[in-house]
Amino acid sequence: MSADTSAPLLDVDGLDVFYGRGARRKQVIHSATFSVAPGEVVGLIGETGSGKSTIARTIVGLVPAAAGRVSVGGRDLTGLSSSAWRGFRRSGTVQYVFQDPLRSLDPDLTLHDSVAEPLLITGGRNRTQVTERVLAQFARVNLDESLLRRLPGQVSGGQRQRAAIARALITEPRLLIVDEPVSALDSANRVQVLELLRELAGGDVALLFISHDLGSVAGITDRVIVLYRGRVVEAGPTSDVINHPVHPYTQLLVGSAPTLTRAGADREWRDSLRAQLGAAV
Amino acid sequence: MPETVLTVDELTVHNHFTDVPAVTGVSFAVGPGQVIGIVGESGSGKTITCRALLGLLPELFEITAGSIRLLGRDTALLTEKEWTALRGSSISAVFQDPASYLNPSIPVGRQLEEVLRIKTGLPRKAARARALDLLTAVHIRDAEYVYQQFPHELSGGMLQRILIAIAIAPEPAILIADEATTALDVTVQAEIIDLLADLTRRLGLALIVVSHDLAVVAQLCQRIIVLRGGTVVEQGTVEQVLFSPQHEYTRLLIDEHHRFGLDRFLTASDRAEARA
Amino acid sequence: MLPRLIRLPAFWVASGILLLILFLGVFGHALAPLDPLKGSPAVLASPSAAHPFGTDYLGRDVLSRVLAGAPVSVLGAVEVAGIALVCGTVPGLLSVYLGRAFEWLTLRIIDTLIALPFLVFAVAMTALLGNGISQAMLSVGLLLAPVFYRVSRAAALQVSSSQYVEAATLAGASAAWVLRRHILPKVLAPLGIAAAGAAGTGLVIVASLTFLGIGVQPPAPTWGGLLASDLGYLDYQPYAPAFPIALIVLTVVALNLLADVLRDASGQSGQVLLKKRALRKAAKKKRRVLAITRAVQEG
Repeated sequence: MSADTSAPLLDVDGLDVFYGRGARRKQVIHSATFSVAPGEVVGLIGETGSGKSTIARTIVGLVPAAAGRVSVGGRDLTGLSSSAWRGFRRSGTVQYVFQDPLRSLDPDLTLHDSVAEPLLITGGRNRTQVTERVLAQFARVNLDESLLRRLPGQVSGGQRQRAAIARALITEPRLLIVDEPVSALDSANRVQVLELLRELAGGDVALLFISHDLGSVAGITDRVIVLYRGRVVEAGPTSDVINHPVHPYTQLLVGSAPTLTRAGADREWRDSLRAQLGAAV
Repeated sequence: MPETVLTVDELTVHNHFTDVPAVTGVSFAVGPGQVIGIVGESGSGKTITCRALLGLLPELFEITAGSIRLLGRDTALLTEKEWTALRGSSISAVFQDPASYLNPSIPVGRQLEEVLRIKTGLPRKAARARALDLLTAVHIRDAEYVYQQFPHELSGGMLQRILIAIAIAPEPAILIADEATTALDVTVQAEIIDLLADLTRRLGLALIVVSHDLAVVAQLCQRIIVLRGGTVVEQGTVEQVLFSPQHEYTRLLIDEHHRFGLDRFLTASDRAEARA
Repeated sequence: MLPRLIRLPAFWVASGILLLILFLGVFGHALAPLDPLKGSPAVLASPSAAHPFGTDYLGRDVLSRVLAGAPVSVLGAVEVAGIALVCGTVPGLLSVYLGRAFEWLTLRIIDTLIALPFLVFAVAMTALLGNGISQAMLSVGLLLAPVFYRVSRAAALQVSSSQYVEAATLAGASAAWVLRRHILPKVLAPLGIAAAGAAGTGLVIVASLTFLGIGVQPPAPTWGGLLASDLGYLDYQPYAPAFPIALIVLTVVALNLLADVLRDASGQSGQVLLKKRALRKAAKKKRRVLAITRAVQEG
């Protein structure tokens, strides 16, 4: 996991994002600043409503930034026109894996067609070339060739998610954003997908891992960024954040995650953390 | 009080749609105040087992062997009317997506009140008072305020607590929590787990916790059953299952936590330091 | 959907009838044994070898008139469904993509069309554009467009807000790509169902219009026209009006049956339906086998 510290791959600086219009306009992200180095694995942790998905969606241009800057590979993505966005997306530099593959894959398209879609959109290849590329990705995510012509509904959750990852990898992205990639899966499938992501992390694809559960990503991430109510409250190497959490919310996260070796931290301590949070942010 | 609240003996359920057995030979027993965990993924038969316990098997599913005895009665002999009387007052359940079990156009307090009035026959005022008590019992701080809220105005954790309140309102002997914390954030999940532990202690409630997450089950249960492909692959006390697992599937589940979870980072001393 | 479809007997019944009707619609003129316009002294005769459907009040062979009248009615219904499909589906799909102004405009136009009554509008249009069957078909087609607008728009809305469309957008897909690749395939089934229904409605309306003498003037035979001219003689000879009525009813029933069958075969409910039927059959068989074995044991 080499981290080239010279130039960050993803640079988010002072990002502000608002939702809604007029009187109902609400600020959901406040001055978010963080970066991801090439080949690094970073976890973006926060509860529902903390804004973690919003940040991810802003990075890929689905949500406009009100202030601040987002740049990928040195290129400033803030305020791009929709045709410029289309061009950037077709370059395949940044890719996104959604939480639920049942929803992110067209139920009427075969796995082959879904995985091939990014290539077909850019065009310029014949059928054989496309299928070759698809097969290469299938191999990379450990999907058997026999599943090529199956529909999403005919395969398991783990296989679906791996197909979604294959679709994201087919453009050889430098940054892969994965949004809760295993929360819709069961144990055996989760392990497979997490192993796969860990393998990928060893290569030169940077991963931005979005999750509400620190426990699910602790085994993979190099660094962790904690988001609470739209603000970055803590950031640092994974083991540091877990073993010496500073912010009350981080302490609560660490204390809440159920582990096998001990029951969760006791209730009074958690309640006192919650009280602190209520007073602070 | 009977020794066991629920006894399941060699339960077998057949799925006529796919013509494959959904559950085969599941046996366990739960007594008052005891907590048993069922661990399994989707397709393992855990949900079908829960539905069989509640008499709510979907169309084309049929119990073809085995028996279920609830508070001493064989549930195969129950008529639909008897089942309606039993559900809630003897056996109750909460499921995964709390919002879909509440009427979106009625304030939550009134829905709780409605259950009380139907199941316990309390008059309006008494039902309202009892409803507020229940909301406090499920650790909701501002019961009066929450009482008037609509489901869409409350968070997932809050809604799940209300559903637990509704489930325990008629004072059932046993509660089934089927993936009750799966859709919740980890911090909220911890609260609900605390709540369920509290309720079993205080009310002597028997509890069946169903989850795909071994750690969630380990927090609450004294005994664990691991289901895979409709059969029981491992069964025993928490210590037995966690520290001397017999089946490779159980070992896979435990391994996952060690490889990807917080277990690898935390030791007892680390935890103490984190508190400081 | 196709394998499920062919297992439902209703599909074969409906398709068979409709194919026959369509055949008549295309070849009706050629099939007529006698000249439909030629009168004879055998007025209001009952069915016989020479005249299988009898004759009308001018001695014209009813069978020939019914067959010759088929093309106008049947092809008219198909034309109506076609116009409605195009005029409804195109704005319906585009309304999701061309922005709020276009959406608002089309919705208001569609609302207006829904409010207009079929026959009055058709009469008005023919008064405006000339008394021909095509003008009448155009007006009816326009009035049936709202159904297709709503169906295609609903399907497009649902698909366009789905996550796989978002995924395609993130891969750089244009709106045209999304329409072609993701929306169109999913719209086809509901459109097929709507088309079957529209054809049925179209047929009834064509019959009504020609009954009123709009579009096609007597003595050219049409099913509605036959009804109009022969209804007065119902007391003397019921066959002349009865046959066109029977054909109209048969066609509309077949179209509705086809629409039902398409609806049943698509979607999960179709699978459960078929499975339940299979189970019932199996249970029946089991009972019969048990009864036989019991009888053998006792006997």
